[in-house]
Amino acid sequence: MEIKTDVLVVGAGHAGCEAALAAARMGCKVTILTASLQQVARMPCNPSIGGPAKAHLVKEVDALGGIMGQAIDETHIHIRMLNTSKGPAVQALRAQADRPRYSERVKLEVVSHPNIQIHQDLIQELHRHQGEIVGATGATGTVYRSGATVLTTGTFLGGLIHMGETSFAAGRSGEPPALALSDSLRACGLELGRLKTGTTPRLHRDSIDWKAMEEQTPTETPLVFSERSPLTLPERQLSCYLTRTTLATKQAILANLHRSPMYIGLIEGTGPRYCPSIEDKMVRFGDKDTHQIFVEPEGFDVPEVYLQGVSTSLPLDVQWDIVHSIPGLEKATILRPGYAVEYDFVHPTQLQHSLEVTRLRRLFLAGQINGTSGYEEAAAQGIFAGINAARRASGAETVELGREQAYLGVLIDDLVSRGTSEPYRMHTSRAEYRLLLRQDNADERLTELGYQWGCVGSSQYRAFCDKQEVSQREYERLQNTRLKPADAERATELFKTPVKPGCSLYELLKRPHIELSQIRRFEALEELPQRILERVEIRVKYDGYMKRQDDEVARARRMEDRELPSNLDYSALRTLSSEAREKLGKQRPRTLGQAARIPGVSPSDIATLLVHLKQARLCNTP
Amino acid sequence: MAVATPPGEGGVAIVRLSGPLAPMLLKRLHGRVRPKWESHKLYYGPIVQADGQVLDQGLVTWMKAPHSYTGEEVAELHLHGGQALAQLVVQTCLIHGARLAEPGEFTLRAFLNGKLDLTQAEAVQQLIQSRSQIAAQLASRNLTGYFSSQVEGVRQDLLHWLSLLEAEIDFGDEVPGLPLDQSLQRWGRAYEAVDRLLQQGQSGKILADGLRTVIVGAPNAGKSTLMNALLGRPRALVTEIAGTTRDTLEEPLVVAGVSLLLVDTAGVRRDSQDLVEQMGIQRSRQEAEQADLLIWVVDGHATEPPDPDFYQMVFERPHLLLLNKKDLGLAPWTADDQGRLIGLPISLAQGADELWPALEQLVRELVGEQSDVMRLTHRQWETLLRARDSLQSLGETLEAGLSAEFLALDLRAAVQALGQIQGLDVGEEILDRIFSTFCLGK
Ligand SMILES: Cc1cc2nc3c(=O)[nH]c(=O)nc-3n(C[C@H](O)[C@H](O)[C@H](O)COP(=O)(O)OP(=O)(O)OC[C@H]3O[C@@H](n4cnc5c(N)ncnc54)[C@H](O)[C@@H]3O)c2cc1C
Ligand SMILES: Nc1nc2c(ncn2[C@@H]2O[C@H](COP(=O)(O)OP(=O)(O)OP(=O)(O)O)[C@@H](O)[C@H]2O)c(=O)[nH]1
Ligand SMILES: [Mg+2]
Repeated sequence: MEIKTDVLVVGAGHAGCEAALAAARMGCKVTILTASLQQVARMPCNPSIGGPAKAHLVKEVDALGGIMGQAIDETHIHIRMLNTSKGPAVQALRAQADRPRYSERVKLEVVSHPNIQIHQDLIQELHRHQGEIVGATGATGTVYRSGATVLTTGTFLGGLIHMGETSFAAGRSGEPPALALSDSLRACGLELGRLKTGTTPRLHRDSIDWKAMEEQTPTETPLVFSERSPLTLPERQLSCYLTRTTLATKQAILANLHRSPMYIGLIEGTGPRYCPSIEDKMVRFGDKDTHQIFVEPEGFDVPEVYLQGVSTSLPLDVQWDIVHSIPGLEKATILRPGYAVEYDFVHPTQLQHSLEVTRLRRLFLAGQINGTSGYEEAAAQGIFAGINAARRASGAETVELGREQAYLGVLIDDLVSRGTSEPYRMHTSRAEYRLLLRQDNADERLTELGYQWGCVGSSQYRAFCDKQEVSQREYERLQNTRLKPADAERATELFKTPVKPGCSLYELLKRPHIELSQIRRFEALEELPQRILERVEIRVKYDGYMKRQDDEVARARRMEDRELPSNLDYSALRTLSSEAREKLGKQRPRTLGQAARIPGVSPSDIATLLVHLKQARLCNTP
Repeated sequence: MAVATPPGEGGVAIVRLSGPLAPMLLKRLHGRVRPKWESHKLYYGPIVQADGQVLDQGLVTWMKAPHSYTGEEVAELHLHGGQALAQLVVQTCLIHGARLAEPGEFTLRAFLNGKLDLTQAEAVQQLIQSRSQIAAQLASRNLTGYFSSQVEGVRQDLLHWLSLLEAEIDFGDEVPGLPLDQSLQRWGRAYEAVDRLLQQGQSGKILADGLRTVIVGAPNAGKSTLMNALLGRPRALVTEIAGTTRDTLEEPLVVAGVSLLLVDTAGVRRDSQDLVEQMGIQRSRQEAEQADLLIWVVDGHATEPPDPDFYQMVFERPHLLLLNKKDLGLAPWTADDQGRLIGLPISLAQGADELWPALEQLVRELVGEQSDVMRLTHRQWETLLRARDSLQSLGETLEAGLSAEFLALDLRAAVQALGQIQGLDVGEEILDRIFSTFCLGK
């Protein structure tokens, strides 16, 4: 059988679903394939979305019209704002998902979209024609022909599960691996590497002594990720709980290290530093006697409870000992054991900033296949790969995002310029323009672009424009309103700080501890929507710091704007170090700024390139 | 191609050739036919002109690319001294088609070929430019990374602090914030360190650029005589006419290993009628104001003590007071109430030997402990200044009580500036530190 489609999306995880939906919104006919139709947008690990930098990614996906934000808003069981003692740039939402309901919600969006066809099939081979990928063949024998293809195969490529001394091939627990596709990718000339990740045992809700642990209650003010979700407090939420490992935990682990696949060399892939297994923690931080453990329900009607902090691939009997050594879990039952999974990834330095493979046009990669880890990282890449695949399929030029525009821009630039040797996770410290890339302004940064690209619908765009207009009006009103003597006196009394007549409301708001809602109440004006108050307030209060970052962006632009000729023969530049020559030739950065971020390209290589660019210009101008 | 040894009658003059044709040229200059040339070996033999005439007997060597200073093919000819001979060899090379190197071109090529990093290349440039012994030492210290290691020390401290802040931002659940007093302590340490580096760099700058040493005094006091005595040659005009020197004269001089720039000036008096002399006097005052070191020459035989107006200006600066014309007998005012002389008695017409020890001592005091000084390039200096500015603004942010991400903004800028001195970038390093310091993760 043969299926023709504009965009073929291989994989229905967080990356694949956003890719398919974005391309479909842009008017393409999309076919999306999954190894198992029962497991669309599955959360195989921690059922939580958000946190510093990750929440920022969710907001960006939302600003581009993606589903992740709305889906989690509708299906979470617990939501909180983190870093509330800090400024707006690093405050971050985090929600615990109702795991099955979240997946159902996303799946519904995918299957009900008129432009999307979803099938269960396992892709075995890609079709290459004159340096382009034009389609693929599935295990069912079906041949897919496509204008562009997006691979989002997660941990499935060459997937190998480890649990103690046993190991078996699998995509992840309960799902088949994709073994043939890795070979096909290698045959197309791509270089693959190997990574690993792991997850924790799941416990039975009713076997836990909840009272022995510290309760973490959810928010009592309305919080949402999506600009399109109503800002209301959920009807029902569940608490999470905090407990700690004990000395007995440590002993159980250290006594059984020789049975850990990690320590006896069964696993060759590199694991994530920020998500170490419990055995790793005990070994690397041997002087620490106890570690925090979060105990989190996986849903309203699900018996499974997630044990955050106990990712392990130790044998099952040791897992039981570990669990029972923790206060509150002495009698707990393990429903599903923890395990580690090893998988192939494609070194992302072989990609362009559009997520298209440099040497295989029409092929885009997104998600864990690029060496990242995390649902949010996957979704963000997915939506961008979907946008570019749709553009490629319809004959338009692909697009890019800068490091100053979005965390997504930072994420992609890090991957493409630097590559990764461990599962890559987003952190706010990776963003040099952190104060500009906030949760609250994701729409200001991206929605206009998304509308131009066609992945943002008109109702979302109209709502955004209205919000901008009202905010701007309020901002100007604050600048233009000056206090009369009587009002200044009243303000001095109310805000307990001296206010001179003639002081503008803008200046008043700049002072610490004065909020816009207070000022409006003082003026006896009606309250504006929370989102608008927030926007205006941040703009006024942090103005100086934002300007400084704007200046830094402008300075960096000089390097970013220096384009490197696409036909530059690096191998002929003998003055470059041999490492730089090789890396630059392989990755072919578009600008000097990108070149400077490639590891192995030193400042003196950049100086050399500059000299050559200058010489070349001198030769070209008569 | 260039003469690699300094001009002068040194023992050996070296002519260096760099580039792909260097070995070919070497074969032509070496008057002996050899079946085989080995890299990095010295060969003895005649050095011949284009017409085959022997110029000198000397050593030659060939260094195969990339194992040479510039990373290219390099040939060197070691000649028996003498600029004239070196010039003849250079001319011969020109005839064979070589070209004279631009100043610093060998270093530039070495840098472009990846033989030297930025800091090293800059140090070499200074080494070449430095005239005096101490300046050369300072430059070579930079070459071996003394400065780099100082900067790296501060940078590591700040980086550690930054990683604490970043951990607090990204893992707020698991990592507590740093208390304010600890932050202030860290801040103070770093600020002081950078400031000290700048100060050390400042005296390094003086050392390498030379101390501006200005000779001042009344007309006919013997200033020009002093200049000539110190230089050991008749550089300035000396006459018994008051007001001989009109314009300033500058000459370099090395004292205690430090290079000085000696400046002779017009004698200062109040009642000058001559317009040109008046302008000269005006300049003398300006010079005195910009001096690092003043030598005040006073005619000790004169009946009147010098103009008191002058005292103030001289005594505010590092100075030496000379009571000249001791041979004619010193006037009573040259001693104070206790009979102690107010300056160093001397007869400059007979030489400046008695002056040297005092001058050397003063110079040493001025440049301070040598081990504390560094010679900074303009770029290093500016980058350090930028780091200090960032730390300054960090101090303000701390004071305003803002949270970690704002502190991180300035801190990162400071770390970045310090890293740039050595061409390092921050990014990954912070994460490496966070994960090796804290046990984090779900
Ligand atoms: C055990 C485990 C532990 C994890 N732990 C963490 C963690 O601690 N922290 C964290 O941030 N992240 C963790 N993750 C990672 C997180 O789950 C992923 O990063 C994220 O889900 C990746 O999304 P994705 O869309 O790239 O791929 P996935 O969500 O894995 O989706 C892959 C999709 O591709 C399909 N597919 C694969 N191959 C083929 C094929 N050949 N043909 C057709 N369809 C195919 C699959 O059926 C599936 O639909 C873990 C993952 C696993 C499995
Ligand atoms: N007897 C004696 N004469 C000296 C001595 N030093 C300098 N003179 C004489 O003093 C006269 C002036 O000397 P200069 O060196 O020209 O004096 P100056 O300070 O440069 O004078 P102006 O340039 O005119 O300001 C000359 O005739 C010198 O020979 C000394 O030690 N003993
Ligand atoms: Mg004179």
